[in-house]
Formats: sequence, structure tokens, C-alpha cells
Amino acid sequence: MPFVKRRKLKEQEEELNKTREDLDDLIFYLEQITSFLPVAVCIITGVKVFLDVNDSFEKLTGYPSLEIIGKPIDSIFEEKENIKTLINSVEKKGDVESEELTLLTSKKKKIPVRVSCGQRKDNQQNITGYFLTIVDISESKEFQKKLEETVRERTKQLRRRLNELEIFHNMTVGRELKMIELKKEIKGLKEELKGSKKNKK
Amino acid sequence: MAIFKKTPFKEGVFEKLSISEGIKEIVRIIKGNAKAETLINHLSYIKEKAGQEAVDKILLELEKNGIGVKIEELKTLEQIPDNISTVVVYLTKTLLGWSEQEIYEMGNNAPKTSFITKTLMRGLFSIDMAVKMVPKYWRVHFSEGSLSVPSYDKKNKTLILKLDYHYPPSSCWFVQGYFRRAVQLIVGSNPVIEQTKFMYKGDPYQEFIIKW
Repeated sequence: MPFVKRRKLKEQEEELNKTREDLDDLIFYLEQITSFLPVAVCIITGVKVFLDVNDSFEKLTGYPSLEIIGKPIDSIFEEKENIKTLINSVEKKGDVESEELTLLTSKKKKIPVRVSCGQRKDNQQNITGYFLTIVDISESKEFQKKLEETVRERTKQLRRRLNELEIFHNMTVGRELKMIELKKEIKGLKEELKGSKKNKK
Repeated sequence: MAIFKKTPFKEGVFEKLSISEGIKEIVRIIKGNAKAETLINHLSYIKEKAGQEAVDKILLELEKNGIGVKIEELKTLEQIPDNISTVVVYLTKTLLGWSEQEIYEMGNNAPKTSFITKTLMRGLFSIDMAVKMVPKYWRVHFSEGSLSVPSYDKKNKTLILKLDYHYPPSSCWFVQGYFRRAVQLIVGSNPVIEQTKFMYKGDPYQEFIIKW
């Protein structure tokens, strides 16, 4: 093989190796980012089965990736129809949409979650699947529940105070009216008395 | 000297070899390269199912047979001889004593952990597209052999895979598990796979019928 061709081949091989190394770095970088993300993220195929999940997903659901990949998306939600409807809606409209659903963990625990779904497309705009994020909203649900309880309790207290005030109001207003009536009566009697005195004279 | 003149890994002959002889034959017959990811995933699956001891046992056996692997230095896309991962599957059967079903499960789980497979799958949105992509898909992983779809019946949900690549009987269950899972990720439902032609039985290629 001529020297020039050999050198060119060597250069191409070096370039290829460099590209491979860069790609390996990129894979490492992507793996680090997805495992760092505190939100459960998963990739769903066009036929709605799990293709990939991150560390937070495994932690939240209790399902190791080996177990969940290949399973249908509705296998981890209580509202089977709602998740399908959500994905169908995303498929038609193209926007990212969210819904509150109940997650069923591997230990059969139920966790309220907010699920957001978006389309995955290839460079020719064909839908190749979906991205899904799952956020545990049990804390905010709990907070909301407590808040609603507090509001209910406060409303009850206020209603009680209002009733008391109404009774007090009725009492005081009644007393006031009685006094006015009495004053009128006194005034009338006084005038009557004054008239009878004049008549005597 | 070649043990198998016409039929590499000939059934009934290959199984009678000692582990070292078997490894030598695999290395002699399988010449191509594959991405190091295949080997990394094999070992990580073995670790998950049988612990680090099992992995160490395999690495030691590889070393004893002149195949030095520094697993921590391997990079996903690095090209390494494909025979190493085939030897690892062979050792899970012969050295660790895994059953055919366990090796099938190993293959069935392999697409789930493969970055390359998942990346390729992300671009597939239908079985029609996957059928067209099959030869390219093989080439991304392996430098030797070929994979094609000589028959695809969309209506009856059946396809035939033709694989022109030698492997020993120990890899047979792994490959079936692998193809089954790859198709399952594309079609969603649970396919059934059957290998109908075996190169180690003298057939000119490996053939699989997959129904879903």
C-alpha cells in the first residue's frame, strides 16, 4: 500500500477513535445527568411500553430498570384509562400535558403523582415515543389536606362566633328597642301627669 | 488444528470439549469485533444475578486462557473481539452452571441495559421501520456476519430473522432471548420466538420465527 494512502488510513483511524472516545464521554455525561435528576423520568416507546428509566424513577416506584423495561405504561398507575387518554391527547395535540394520577409502587403502595407527558420525535418529525416525568405530590397533597382542614375548622369557629354575635345583637337591639319604648311611655305618662295637674288648678 | 472442519461448534462434539478447548474454539472461529458494551452488560448482569464472585470466577478463567480483560477500563463504544462476550456466555453455562432458561433470561434482559440498543430503539416507531433497519442494526453492534428479514407478514404478525453468524450452542438461548425482547420493545405485546435453523447443526444460517 502506498505511503500516502497508509498515512491517510491511519489519520482516519485516529479520527474514528477520537470520535468514539468523545461519544463515550457523551454517554458518561448523559448517564450522570439522568441519574442526578431528582425527578423520575422515563422514555416510552410508540407502543407505550417502558424503554428507559432513570435512578429517581427506580427510587420512586421501587421497580429496578431490568424489571420495568418492556412493561406497558399503565402497569404502574391505578387509573389505567387516564394514562392512556393522557398519552393519546399528547399524540394528537403535540403539547406537553399533565395529570394527577395514582402511582402503584412495586410494594403496592399508592402515591399521588403529577404525570407530565411530551412527544419524542425523530429528525423527520415522526413520533417515536414519549417522555414522561412523574413527580411525587404526596407532600403537597398532605399540605393541601391540612390546609383544607384548617380552613374548615376556622369556618366552623367563625360560624359559632357569628351565631353568638347574632344572639348578642338580638339581645342588645331588643333591649334598646324596649328602652325606647319605655322612654316613650315615660314621656307620655309625664305629659299625662302634667295635663292632670293643670286641670286641677 | 481445527476440530470442526465443516460445521463450527458442531452439536454433540463441541459440548464434549474441556472448558479451555471450548474457549480456544470460540476464539478461533469468531473473528469479528463488537462494542465493548456487550461484554460490560454481560458481566454486570452476571454480577446482579450471581454476585461479584461469579464475575471474578469468569474473569479468572478468561485470564487463564489468555484473554485479559480490564473491565473497569472498557468503554461502551470501544471495539473489542466479539469472541470475548461469546466466551463469557459459554462460561456462564459451563463454569457457573446456568441453565438454558437462565441464559435465555440473560439475553432477554440484554436489550434493556444496552445503551446502543435503547438508542436505536428510540428511533424506531413501528415494526415496519424496524424490519428495514435490521441489517443496519446488526452492523452497529458487530463487524462480522449479517442479519436480515427474509419474510415479514404484517397481517399475521410474523417475521423470520436470518442470521449469518456462527455461535456455539451455549449462545443459542441467549440470542433467542435477545431477539424476543428487541421485538417486544417494538411491538408492545409478548412475542414468541422459535429457532428453526442452527448453524451448529449444519444449517447454512441461523433462522428464527417470531410471532406476536
